[in-house]
Amino acid sequence: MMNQDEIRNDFPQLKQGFIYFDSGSTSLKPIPVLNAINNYYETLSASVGRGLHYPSYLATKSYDEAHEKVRKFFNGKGEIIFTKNCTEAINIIAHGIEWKAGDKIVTTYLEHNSNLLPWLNLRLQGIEVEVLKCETDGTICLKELSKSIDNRTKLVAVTHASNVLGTIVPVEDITEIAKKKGAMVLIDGAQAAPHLKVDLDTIGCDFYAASGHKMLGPSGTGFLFINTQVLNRLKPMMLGGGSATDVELDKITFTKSGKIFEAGTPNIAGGIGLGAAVDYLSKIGMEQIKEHELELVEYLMDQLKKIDGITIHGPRELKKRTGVVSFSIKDIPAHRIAILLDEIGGIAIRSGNHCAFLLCRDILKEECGTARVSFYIYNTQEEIDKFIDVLEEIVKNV
Amino acid sequence: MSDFQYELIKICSRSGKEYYHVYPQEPMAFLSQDFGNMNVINSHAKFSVISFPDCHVTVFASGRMLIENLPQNAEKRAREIIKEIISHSHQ
Repeated sequence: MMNQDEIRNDFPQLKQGFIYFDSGSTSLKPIPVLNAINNYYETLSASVGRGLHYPSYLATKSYDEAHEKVRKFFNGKGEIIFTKNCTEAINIIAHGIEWKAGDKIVTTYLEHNSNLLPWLNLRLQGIEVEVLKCETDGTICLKELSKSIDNRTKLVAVTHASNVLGTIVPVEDITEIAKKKGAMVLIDGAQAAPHLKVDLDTIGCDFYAASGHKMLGPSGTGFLFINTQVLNRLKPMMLGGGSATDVELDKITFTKSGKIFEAGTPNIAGGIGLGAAVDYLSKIGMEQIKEHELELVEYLMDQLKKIDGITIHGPRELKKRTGVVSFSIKDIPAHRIAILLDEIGGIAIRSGNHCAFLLCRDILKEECGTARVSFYIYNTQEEIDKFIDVLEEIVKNV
Repeated sequence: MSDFQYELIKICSRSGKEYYHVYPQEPMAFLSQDFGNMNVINSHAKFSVISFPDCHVTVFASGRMLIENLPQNAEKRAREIIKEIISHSHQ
């Protein structure tokens, strides 16, 4: 059982008294994460993997341990690469695979721009990109997906959970289908990794990308999992410090490990902070986090249904959802809802297209996007009550 | 009120329409919600929604505003609207 008061005490920003329902964009940071960052700057500040001095040894040890914490947390049999965000992680794959004209990528209308634009851009190189439509609740038809994957398909790229609808995508099934047809699988875990128990070994995907900053980690952190079996099929997107073990004018001996994808001095404090975030999440337990968020989602949806003119997007079944609830209110544009909630109630939500233009415009038919509430461990039912009070006031007066 | 200092931020541009967010550099103590003969379609103690021929504007007592649905490349028009609202709020 989560102790809500203890958890909230760990998040200094909540003491300002506002209600933060925008964790789908980025999460707040708990004190242990802030302390880990401070501790690096106050006691460990040195570059990693380069110096023979003791501070460098300690910094390297902490930074490497953070990688291992993330790998164990997600049970990945492969390499964990630290990136600045999920977008960078996906772009490493888009630039890393050796594409040839005629190759095919299969993705979906459910995707955030970070898992769509890198693929659409590859069309300039003669790569075919098939974008599969989804249902209005975010369901992807697996039969259609299977039909789309042919012997030219090199990669299937799907989200693990929709950032707009909260829909959980059956990534294990999709991976199985794709693997049987010889395609590699990339999963965008930005909206799943912070909220669900993710077991990469069970999923069986080749690549899994996620944001550290959405899972209590510092800004400027993310990670990429690369399955050991496909590591040698990728070229690094950048080269520099740490990329080579020996260099001659006519020969470069490249680093053999995943470190080759982290060229240059990395975000060391951020990486160590991400390790602390994983410790924090482990201590609470991902099952508990999911349960807490779904209780909030159920309560919010019950309250929202009482408001005239409201449309709640996403799956009706709770078990198919993460802690995200998108809604629209007849005749009140989403941006107006968001700014009114902020100004009147000090409530932060997200509004608009959520970087998912295709989904909002072509599937949901919401030209102005949606209003989105996204929960995390620090949110409470009392906050929802206040949110509903303010929303009712808005609907009554606008 | 000619000294109303603000930041104008374009939020998004979709299907030929633009949204602007107006942030006062210093939040106002209270921007009067009496806008004279302007076409106020919603009135509340803390905000009003004013209809213009080409857009709707939500105006808060703090001076913050949301301008919705202007045609593309309408920054100049957005500034004209802000000026008009501020001048009327003092009548």
